[in-house]
Amino acid sequence: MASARIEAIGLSKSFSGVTLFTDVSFTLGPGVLAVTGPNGSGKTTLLKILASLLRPTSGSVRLEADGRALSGDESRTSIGWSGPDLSFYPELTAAENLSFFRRAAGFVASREDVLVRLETVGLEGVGEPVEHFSTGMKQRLRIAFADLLDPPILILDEPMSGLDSGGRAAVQRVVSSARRRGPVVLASTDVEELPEADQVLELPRREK
Amino acid sequence: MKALKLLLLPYMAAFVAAAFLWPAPAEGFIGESSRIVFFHVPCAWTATLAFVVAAAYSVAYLARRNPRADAVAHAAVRLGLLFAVLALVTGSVFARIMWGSFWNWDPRQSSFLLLLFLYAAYLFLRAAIDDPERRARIGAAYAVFAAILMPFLVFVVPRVTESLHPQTIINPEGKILMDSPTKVVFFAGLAGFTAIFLWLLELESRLERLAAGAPAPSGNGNLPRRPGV
Amino acid sequence: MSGATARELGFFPRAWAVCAKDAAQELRRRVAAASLFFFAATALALVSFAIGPFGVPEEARAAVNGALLWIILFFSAATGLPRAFVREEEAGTGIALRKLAPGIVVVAGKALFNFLLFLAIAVLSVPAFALLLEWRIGSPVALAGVVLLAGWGLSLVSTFLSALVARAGQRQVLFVVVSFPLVIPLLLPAIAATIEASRGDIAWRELRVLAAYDGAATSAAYLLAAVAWED
Repeated sequence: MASARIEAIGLSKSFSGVTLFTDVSFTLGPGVLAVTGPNGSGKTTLLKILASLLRPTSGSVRLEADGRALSGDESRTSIGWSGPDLSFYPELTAAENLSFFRRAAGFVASREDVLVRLETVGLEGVGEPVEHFSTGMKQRLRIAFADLLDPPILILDEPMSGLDSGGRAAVQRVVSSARRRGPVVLASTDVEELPEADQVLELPRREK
Repeated sequence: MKALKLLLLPYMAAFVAAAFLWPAPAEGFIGESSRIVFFHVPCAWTATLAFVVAAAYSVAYLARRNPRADAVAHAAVRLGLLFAVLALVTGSVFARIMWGSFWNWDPRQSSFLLLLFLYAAYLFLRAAIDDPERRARIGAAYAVFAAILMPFLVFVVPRVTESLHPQTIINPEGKILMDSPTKVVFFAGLAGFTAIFLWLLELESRLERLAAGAPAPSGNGNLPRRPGV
Repeated sequence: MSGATARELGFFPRAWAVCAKDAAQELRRRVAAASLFFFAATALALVSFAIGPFGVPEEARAAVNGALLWIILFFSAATGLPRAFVREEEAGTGIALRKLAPGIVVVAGKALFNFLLFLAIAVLSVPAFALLLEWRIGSPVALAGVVLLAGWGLSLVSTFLSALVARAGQRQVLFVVVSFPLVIPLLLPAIAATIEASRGDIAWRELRVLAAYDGAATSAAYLLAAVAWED
């Protein structure tokens, strides 16, 4: 299977006159890119742009999977993303959340499949609604969400935040298997806590 | 174009004078009240034209996301509101003279009131949204949605029931029941009002674009939810 | 399995998933249903108290009751139906759902849910209304038809508009203001047809108008759903 690639071409983002970053470019095939930088450097915004959640002020993102460029609609299902503002339905359980999101995305969600996904992040057997989750449990669910459609491209913003050693190990497992099939972009203020990266992109502190 | 604009003032002055002096009052109307047709109908016509303009430019905005299109649509609605109010006021005055009461839930009267509510709703909706791009997009979506449902507003409310409204222009025979001098002044007024509307539209949209200041950044103008990301 | 493969589920199963999810949330929290129910109950109690079964002369009863019924149903809808989109905003789940599902799927799913919610309230309020006000309905089948047709239009328009106002300020008031002019051409034939149904007749003309309105509203919502759902 031809592997996936993500290419950023001259990305820049500014709003209300404030420039976050300019001319960010990179190419990434199977492997890990770690994006780092101080608070306010635009990491989350950059990752959202890569995940097609935001539009850049200028520049573009090119996605490839199975050897060809992906259309806008395909990028919905081909990119997995999670970030600090990802929230879930509080009244529903983790399993219900995941199976709903899979169905809404247009994929079958069997009980076994959802169970396996919960096991991967260590949330198996948790029957209570998400509103009773701790920070760490919510973070684990976010990771499961990112991987929900088995996307060739994975983008995780602050993946380790709030996680104990078990949770961190789960993230390592997810990233290890994802990096073999396609690009993985991770962002964190502390690059030490991230899995080993093939490339590092440092965003400078924003000019005032 | 500038010459035409300069001519508009004397043109309208002549029109107003003619409206009061030239054609004789029509039969079947009390006193001079038939003269109201020269002012009332163009207001109603302009209010409806404004709606069409707003809807068309809203579609244009949604297609290309050009802020200028949105400015025109917004200006058209504001002007439409003004002319709709004028149409309702002149119509009510006429109703008072002819039938003794300002308002009687006549189907045509009521459908204009509804149009007024629609304009007001559009403006209220825009006022409640802070982000400029979202405001334009939501406003345009509402305008287009309303435009698609419009035929029901226009044809359902004024059902073919007893209407007090005079049938001089829109009537079953499809003829305009006016004598020559009246026709001349009437169409002159229609043209004049349309010209005023278009000129005001141009001014209002330019003003809005200038007030908006520097062009918004292209692409998604969304602010991040948390500072410092 | 790579996510770049084609989807397995079509439009309807996806919309149904959204509807079922909203229903699951509603069953556990009951916010929308509760506000709908209490509004309708209060309005009914007020009307019944003020007018009573014999407060209105026989001839006028059908007209007054018909109008009152739809006023109550409209305001009940305005109270409870907008929750569908507001819920997503409050929980912050919009970002996840926007990533995975397009506007038509979400609007269709929530419209379907709101329609079912509306029908639930109608099924409870209409008989209660008829009972409390001694209102004999000549043709309950015709009345059911009116409620179904007008209910779909009302639910769909309410759902679409609530998507537009979900992120605006003054939501409650704003929703009534923006929905009122659009819903009048639906309510007037509905009231007329209801009056006819209470007399035992079927108001074919009004039913045709309702069906046409439903068609136009559905097409309009279909065309504009993506725009309304955009971030």
